[in-house]
Amino acid sequence: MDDLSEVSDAQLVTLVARYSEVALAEIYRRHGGAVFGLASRVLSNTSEAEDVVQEVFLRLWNSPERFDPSRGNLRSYLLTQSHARAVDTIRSLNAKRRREINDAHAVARAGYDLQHEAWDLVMSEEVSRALATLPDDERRAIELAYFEGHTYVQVAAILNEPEGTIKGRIRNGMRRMRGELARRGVQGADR
Amino acid sequence: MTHDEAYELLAPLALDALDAVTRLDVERHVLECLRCQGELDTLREVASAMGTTYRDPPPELWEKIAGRLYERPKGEPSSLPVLVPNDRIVPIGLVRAGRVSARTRGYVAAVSAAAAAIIVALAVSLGSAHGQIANLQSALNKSNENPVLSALTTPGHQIVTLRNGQHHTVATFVVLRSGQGYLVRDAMPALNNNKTYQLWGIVNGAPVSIGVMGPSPSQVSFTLVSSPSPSALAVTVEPAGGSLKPARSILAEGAV
Repeated sequence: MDDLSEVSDAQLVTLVARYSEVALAEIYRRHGGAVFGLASRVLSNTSEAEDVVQEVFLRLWNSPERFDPSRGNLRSYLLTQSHARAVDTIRSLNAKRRREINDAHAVARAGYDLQHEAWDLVMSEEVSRALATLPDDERRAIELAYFEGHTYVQVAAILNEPEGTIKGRIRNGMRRMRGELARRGVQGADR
Repeated sequence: MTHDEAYELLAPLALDALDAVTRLDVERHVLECLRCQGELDTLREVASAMGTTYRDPPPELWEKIAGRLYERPKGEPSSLPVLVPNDRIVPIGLVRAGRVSARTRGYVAAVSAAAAAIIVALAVSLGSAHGQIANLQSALNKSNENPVLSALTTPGHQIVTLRNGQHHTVATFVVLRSGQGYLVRDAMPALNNNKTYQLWGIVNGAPVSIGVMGPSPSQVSFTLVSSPSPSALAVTVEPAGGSLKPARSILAEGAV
């Protein structure tokens, strides 16, 4: 099968399970940019983000059975893997490197607000709009946790709020995001 | 951890915002709780949507990934069974169904290690694989009964023809009901000594090594002892010593 452009993500994973490098390459073509984009955003370091991307795709190659299409689409699965590995990397870094990452995040956010160029995908633009509808305290808690790799306990310390409050803000913010994304018709990226 | 406690932490879990110990506790509960599984899956979809941003990866990144696809994990054996007439070697079964997981890889390694020991014993008496094949060819010529001819006249035998992408016949095997198989003839050109032909059984869609045939196969014998039986045989060209997974695309394949 030479032309895989019309094959579904789930079918591609089945082909990967049969050692099809071409299928893995097609998955990379479809989702490599998103996986790299998220890892880069969390880590603010191209080299470390590349390592994360390699890990994510090699893991899919070696253990394709870990992807369960009944529990979500492939894009979501790969981004979940990418994020978890990026966060692991952040948490293993020393304090100096973490400060550099946090500084870079501050610059990236400012750049986004001024230039409106951080989110390239149409869906991403919708998602960013949805995120912007959240109350500031909920959005800030989610951003610190998701994009900067802090635990919710650390977020509580950073914002000087009780842990239970932050836990509630994250929970409520995620639920609100779910509703907002549904309202905007943002669905999974699976084919 | 109670259900309510775990349920409250699902959103932080979906954001990877739990410490390692708490995460394990919650994940343990989620494994047994369908309601939490469903909620976590939904929250992870939301988190992934939030994380969807795009950045062109460096052009060389895919090449780095592709170059690591067949890295041999530490501890895996470097040699695989050499296929020779089966009165000289214990048959190597097809030891797994599906992909090699970390767990089954250990089993494969154990079986292959046993095979390696047998190969060492063969080496003592027969020399290298090249020498083995030459000696065996000579032995076969001297024998009163050619096992290949015998197989071809055994009731119930099956001819398996391996063809390449251009539908040219690359090799023909005869396989008996017992699982015993022999190379009947081939059109495989001789390889350099740093490469070898390797025979695979396709089990549940995945290739499982049967053994290496050397750079210039002549007399090849094997026994299929797996359950389920392979649906096809396939040949690849591999680095000398063989591979646990095909390092190159399949050269030829034929249904059993």
